[in-house]
Amino acid sequence: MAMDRVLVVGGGITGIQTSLDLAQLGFEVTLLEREKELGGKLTQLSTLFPKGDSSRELLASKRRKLEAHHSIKIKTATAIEKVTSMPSGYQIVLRGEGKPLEVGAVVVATGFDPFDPTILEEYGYGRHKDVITAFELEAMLKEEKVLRPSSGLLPRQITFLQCIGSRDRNTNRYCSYFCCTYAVKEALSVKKLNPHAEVCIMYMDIRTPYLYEHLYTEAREKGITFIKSRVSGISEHGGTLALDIENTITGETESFSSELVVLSIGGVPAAHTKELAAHFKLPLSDQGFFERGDEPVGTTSPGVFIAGAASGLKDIPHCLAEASASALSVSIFFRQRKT
Amino acid sequence: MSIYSCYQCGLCTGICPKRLITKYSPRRDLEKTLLNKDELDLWSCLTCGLCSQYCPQGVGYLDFMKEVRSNKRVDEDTIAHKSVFNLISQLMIKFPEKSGVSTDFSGESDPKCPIGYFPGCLDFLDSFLEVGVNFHSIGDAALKLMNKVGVKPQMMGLKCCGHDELWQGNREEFERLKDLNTHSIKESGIKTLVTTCAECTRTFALDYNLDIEVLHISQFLEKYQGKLNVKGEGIVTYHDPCRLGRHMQIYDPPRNLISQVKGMNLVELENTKEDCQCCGVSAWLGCTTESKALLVNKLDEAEKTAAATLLTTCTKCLAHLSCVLNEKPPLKEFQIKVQDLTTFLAEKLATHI
Repeated sequence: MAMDRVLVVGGGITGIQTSLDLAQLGFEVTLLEREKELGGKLTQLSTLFPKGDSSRELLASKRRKLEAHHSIKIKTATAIEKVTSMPSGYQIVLRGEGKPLEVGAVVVATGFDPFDPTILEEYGYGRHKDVITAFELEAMLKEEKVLRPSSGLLPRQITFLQCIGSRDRNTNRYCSYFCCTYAVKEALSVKKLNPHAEVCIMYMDIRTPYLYEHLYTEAREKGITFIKSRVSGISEHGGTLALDIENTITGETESFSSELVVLSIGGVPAAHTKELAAHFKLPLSDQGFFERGDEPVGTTSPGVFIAGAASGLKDIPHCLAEASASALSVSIFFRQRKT
Repeated sequence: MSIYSCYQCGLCTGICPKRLITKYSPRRDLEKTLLNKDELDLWSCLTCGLCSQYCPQGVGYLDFMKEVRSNKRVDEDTIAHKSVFNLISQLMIKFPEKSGVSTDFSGESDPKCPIGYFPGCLDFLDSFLEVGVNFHSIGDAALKLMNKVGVKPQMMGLKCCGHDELWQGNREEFERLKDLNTHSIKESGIKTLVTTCAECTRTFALDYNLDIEVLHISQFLEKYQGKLNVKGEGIVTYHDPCRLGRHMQIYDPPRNLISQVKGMNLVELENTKEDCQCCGVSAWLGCTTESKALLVNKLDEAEKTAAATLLTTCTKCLAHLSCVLNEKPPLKEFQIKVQDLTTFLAEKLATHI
């Protein structure tokens, strides 16, 4: 029986999609989520690029499908206590549960954590109320009210700072992949809510791959300003934020005023990555994410697969594709075992 | 990292202290180099290292500056004090047998000691600078402190360390000084070289290939903390010289020594350690009315701590900061004093045990 049961670790959009596809393929699934609710990062987002779909609606429709499958057992607020490797798969002890779970395969879909910009003191996050992260802006966009936290008033200027915690040897060297596209998406949303606001994006390179390019073009057409520069410090003068930059187009140093600053934070490996890696003997990359094996969503541990941002940052469409790929890989793995 | 990894994001220019007073743009110099264009602004950079520290790519701007300045000649009129310190170096090179820095300081020394003390250009500074500082007393203080912890160092009458020649692009002169000094150091048999100036420490440690230990006196004395027995009262603050701080990551030893002074309270500057702001002049280049503005900012920042004294560990920082304090007529009324850590500690030594 253990042969046909699969454990999916992580109940974000990747884990949900993996569970749905596994159930469709006829497997018994246990979907494990550390938090109280399913949904992961999706619960924090307003709309999704590139089409502007509502994340709330996407999550609700996926949940309805989950509920329709009786072969998916959902365990929220649950963590793994102990893992024992067996010839037929893995025996897993869940925290607070007596009877161990026996599974033939595991899909790790633990996603990422947002980068915490507090350590970059030059941006004054936590010190200046009007310096917020993109995730905090998403919460405002969900309510369709983007206001300055300091005064509750509409900001006249909103400035996005790119590559916060990305492409920086002082934090993380890698590109976080999704920040340019989400910043462009958020800038467009802000502009739509507040057409008189001056919206600006400060960047090192704009990376909106493939068809996301049209969002970038749209943002330029809608009057969003793009300045190539990296802010070296933020201070507050008379209630307005002053951003120290070299405007690399003009070559002039400026003190750029903005009433709201949005930090386009990247991602880092999820908090419990190391713990989970030890449980399943999975190697980690230099960046601390799970390292994939030779197969597209495979690992070096037999029967353990990896999907979504847990193996490196990616956007939701890519996560969904890897979710389906991992379900298929599990199916192939089981078939090979039988023969 | 090499300059080829530069993203041209401009963070360097945004954070550059020189940019506050001039149009200098580190990014522009990198861009011109990447595009194989000449006309670099070679002499504006203070080589304070702030840009490299925050550069997302970690571009080694200091090495870049050292390289592009190499064998280029700076306009002599822009070197402060009529290039007298270059002339001194050149004389040392020309008459290697008969020249060297003065080692005539009061205290006990031992020509066989494996620990050497190099006073640097202290007596030359006394001869040509009128900034209200007795530089010679730094050497006396160093000997007094070393004697106090039971060390009678070998006095090192080396040539100039070559720091200024190196950063002025005079590579030939630097290499000559380096060769002469390396030879003398080998002959002396010392295992540890102690200096009282951050520039000497950086130069011997990073720009020479010595196989001995090079220590700033604050690092050396830190090992003997318990033996110092120093007492004082009041508040002091501390300026991290770029050569010791950002160039070599030596931040704690001077602070640990200050905290050894019983009754003394160290209050940090607003911009401290890695973020410490430059004293405004480097290798005698760029000493202008504008650079004085950086020094005034520095002293303003120091006065905000309510300290009576701003301490530092670099003879040049001491000279530049004191110069502004002694400007006549005064640029501004300052209450604060500037002092070298070595003389400060020597003054605080308990007179009787």
